[in-house]
Amino acid sequence: MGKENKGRTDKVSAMKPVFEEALAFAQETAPGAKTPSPGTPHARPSAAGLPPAIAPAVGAVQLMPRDENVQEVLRSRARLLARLQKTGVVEEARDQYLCFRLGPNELYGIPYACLEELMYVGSIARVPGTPRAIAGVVNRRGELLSVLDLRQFFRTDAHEDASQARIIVVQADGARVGLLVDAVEGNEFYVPARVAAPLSSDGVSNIEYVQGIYEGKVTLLNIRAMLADPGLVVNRSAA
Amino acid sequence: MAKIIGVVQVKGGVGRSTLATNLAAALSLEGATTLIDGDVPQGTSASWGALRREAGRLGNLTVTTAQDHVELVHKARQLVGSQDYIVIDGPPRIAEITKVMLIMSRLCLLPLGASAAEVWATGDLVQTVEAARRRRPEIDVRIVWNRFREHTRSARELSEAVHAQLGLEEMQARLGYRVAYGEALGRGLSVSEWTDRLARDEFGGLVAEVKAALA
Ligand SMILES: Nc1ncnc2c1ncn2[C@@H]1O[C@H](COP(=O)(O)OP(=O)(O)OP(=O)(O)O)[C@@H](O)[C@H]1O
Ligand SMILES: [Mg+2]
Repeated sequence: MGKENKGRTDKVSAMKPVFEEALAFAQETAPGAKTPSPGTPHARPSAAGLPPAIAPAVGAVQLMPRDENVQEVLRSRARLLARLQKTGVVEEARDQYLCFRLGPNELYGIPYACLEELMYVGSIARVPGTPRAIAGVVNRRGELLSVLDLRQFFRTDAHEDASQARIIVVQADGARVGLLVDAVEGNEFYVPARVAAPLSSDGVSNIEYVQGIYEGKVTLLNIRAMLADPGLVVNRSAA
Repeated sequence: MAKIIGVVQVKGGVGRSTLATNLAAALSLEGATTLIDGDVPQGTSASWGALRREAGRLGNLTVTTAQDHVELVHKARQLVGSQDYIVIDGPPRIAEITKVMLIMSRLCLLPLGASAAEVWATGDLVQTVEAARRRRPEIDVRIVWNRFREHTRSARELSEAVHAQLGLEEMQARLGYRVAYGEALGRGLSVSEWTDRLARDEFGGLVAEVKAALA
C-alpha cells in the first residue's frame, strides 16, 4: 500500500513537466494557431436559449454545475438533441455527394461513388493543342492526371479568389480526371429519387454531363458521361 | 496515476462528444474516471453528464468542464493523482485547448467521417500534431472512423489515403452510422446501455483497443 502510494506520487510529479510543456505549446503560434481550414465551414448548433450567465457558472473549480437553472438548460438541450436525432431517422434512400462551387455562387455536386481524392492546386502544366477547358496535367504521385477546368467547361463567371481552389479527382469505369473548382463546400446528403431532370433552358451549358438539379440549386454532375468523352480525358489508365 | 485520453478534431459534428461520452462511461467501469468537457458553452458532454447524473448512473464517473486551456491543465493536474482515467472532449478548432490536449494525452483519438472531404479537412490538425511531436515525440494520435458506411468508399482505399495524406495510425474498430449513438447521447447513456447490439459490440471493440493502447 505504502509502496504503491509512493510510486503513484512519483509518477504524478513525473507528469509535471508535461503540463508545463502543454501550456508552452499552447502559447506557441505558427503553424497550429490558425483557425479551421477555409473550405470547411461548420454550422454549429447555436447556444440558443442559453442564458449568458451559464458560461461563468459552468466554469471555475466546481465539478459539475450545480445551479438548478444550469441543470435545466443542460437537460433541455440534451432532450432536444435526442429529438433532433429521432427526426433524422425517417430515412429515404440517401446518398452522399461532395458539394463544390464554381464562380462566386454556383453550386455543383459529385456523387461519392465517383470521388477519389481532393488535391491542393499545385503546378498545372498546359498541354498544347488541347481545348481551353483542359487546364493541363498534374503529377499525382508519379502518375499524370489531366485536369479539366470546370469554369471553362460550364462557362461560369470568373472568380478572382484562387485561395480555395482545389482539384477534385474523380473516376469512373477505369478513367480518372481532375476537376479544377473554385472551392469545396463539404459533403452533403441527397435523395437520388428527388433529383430533377436538367432543363436546357436552365442556362447550363454542356447539359449532357449533368445528372440533374437537386433542390433547385445544386447541379449534380454525371461523371461517367464526362469521363466517357474522349475529348475530355487526355490519358486513360486502368484503375 | 490517471491516463489521459483526448478526443480531438477540428471539424465539427464529427463525433467527438459521442466518442468522449461513450469512452468515459466504459472506462468508468474499470476505475475512477473524469470526463472534462472542453467545448463549452456548447457543452454536449456536460449535458450528457447532467442527464446521466439525473438517471443515477454516474457511478465512478465525474463530469466537469473547462473554459480554456489554463483551466483544463489546472484540472488535469488536480485530478491526475486521484483518477484512473481522464477523458477530454475538445472543441472543433485548433484552439489552445486542442494544443494542450495533444501534449498532455497519453492517447488522442481523432474521429473522422469516412469521406475524402473530411480526410482533407483534417490537414491543418495534422500540422499541429507534427508541431506537438517536436516537443513530445511519443504523442500517440489515432483515427477513429465514425459513421462508417462500407459502401461509400472501400475501407482499404480510405485507410491508404489516411496513411498517405495524413500519416496517422488508425484504430481497427470502426463506428457505423447508427441511430443508437444519438439515442444514447440524448439520454445520458452509453451505447453499451442501449438496445442496439451492433453498436454495443463495435464500441466494445474500440474500448478494448483503447485499453490495449494505454497498457
Ligand atoms: N456513428 C454515428 N451514427 C449516428 N449518429 C452519430 C454518430 N456519431 C455521431 N452521431 C450524431 O451526430 C451528431 C454530432 O455528433 P457529436 O455531438 O458527437 O459530434 P461533435 O464532433 O462533438 O460535434 P460538435 O462539433 O457539435 O461538438 C450527434 O447528433 C450524434 O448523435
Ligand atoms: Mg461536441
